[in-house]
Amino acid sequence: MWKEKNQNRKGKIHELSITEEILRICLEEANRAGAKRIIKIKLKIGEITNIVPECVSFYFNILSKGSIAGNAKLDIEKIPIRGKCKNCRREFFVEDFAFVCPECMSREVEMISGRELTIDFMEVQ
Amino acid sequence: MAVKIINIFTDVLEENEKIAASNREIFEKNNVFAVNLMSAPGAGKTSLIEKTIDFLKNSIKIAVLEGDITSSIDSERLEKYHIPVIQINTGGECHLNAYMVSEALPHFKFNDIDLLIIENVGNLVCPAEFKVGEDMKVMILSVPEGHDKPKKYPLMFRESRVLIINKIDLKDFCDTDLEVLKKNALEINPSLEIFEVSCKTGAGIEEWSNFLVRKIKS
Ligand SMILES: [Zn+2]
Repeated sequence: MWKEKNQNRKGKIHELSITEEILRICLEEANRAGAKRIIKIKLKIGEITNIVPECVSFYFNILSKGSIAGNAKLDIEKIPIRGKCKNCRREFFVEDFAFVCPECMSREVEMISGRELTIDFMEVQ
Repeated sequence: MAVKIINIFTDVLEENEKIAASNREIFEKNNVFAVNLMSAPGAGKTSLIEKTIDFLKNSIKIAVLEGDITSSIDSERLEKYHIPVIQINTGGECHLNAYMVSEALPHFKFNDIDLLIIENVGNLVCPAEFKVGEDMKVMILSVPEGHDKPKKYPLMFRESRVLIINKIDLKDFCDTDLEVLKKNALEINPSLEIFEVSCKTGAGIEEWSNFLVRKIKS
């Protein structure tokens, strides 16, 4: 299991530019709304994205220092992968990244969630 | 002061996707087929580009956009082919984004190009997230990387149109089970086109190149 953890750690730098973009969008929206302070930011991150929430939080704390998002709490919801069979229309959770319909075994499966990388809402003052 | 909720519902990468769409318009207008080539470091992206140029140089006009964190080693390797090569140094970023590509595009003379190969930075996480305006994503996985890679980097496999399994000359020396590898990859993306190649021996280069030409002409 040590190896798996190490894999995640290797991915650390990859979240930097994504976190920069999150902060940029939030500051812009807060500015537009005339907010003085961002209290909380709710993010949705899909399971298939390989983006590690801890890394996003880590970078966010560094990048947001000195801005109105400085003490904001990042609330990150991991969204599981759901598929919809194009053959029998059944919806199901995709386990272990296997896009195979449990009902009819079709491989024609559309991903209906799990790809998210979304800012949902913010709480501001 | 009262707490207020601001609904955003914004895709974090929306800005990137807008620029990617405008890159794509440029490719379409100029009849350029753009391939976003991605892999882990050392899987053989530059070698594949070299082999592909060798095979196709007399039938189609190829240009390369080289993404690299700091060096220009890969683009220097391509000098001998006398084709247009533009280098982007990402300055620490682990992937190319649509903006970097848009900055490079004015340096190409598109009426002399059928195929633009965009060699992304070696990494399997972020390049899968950031569109650059490509017609298709192609990923290379080398045999020594093992058959579990699809499960570790699923988005890359889901988003790619083509999987090139490189270094098949090494398959007798590795524990990688090619059948398991292909099964894992196809579970994530059943429409993946898979080519087994060796940039060392040249095996599979013809099949891959012919597929590419069919795509460009369709
Ligand atoms: Zn089904």
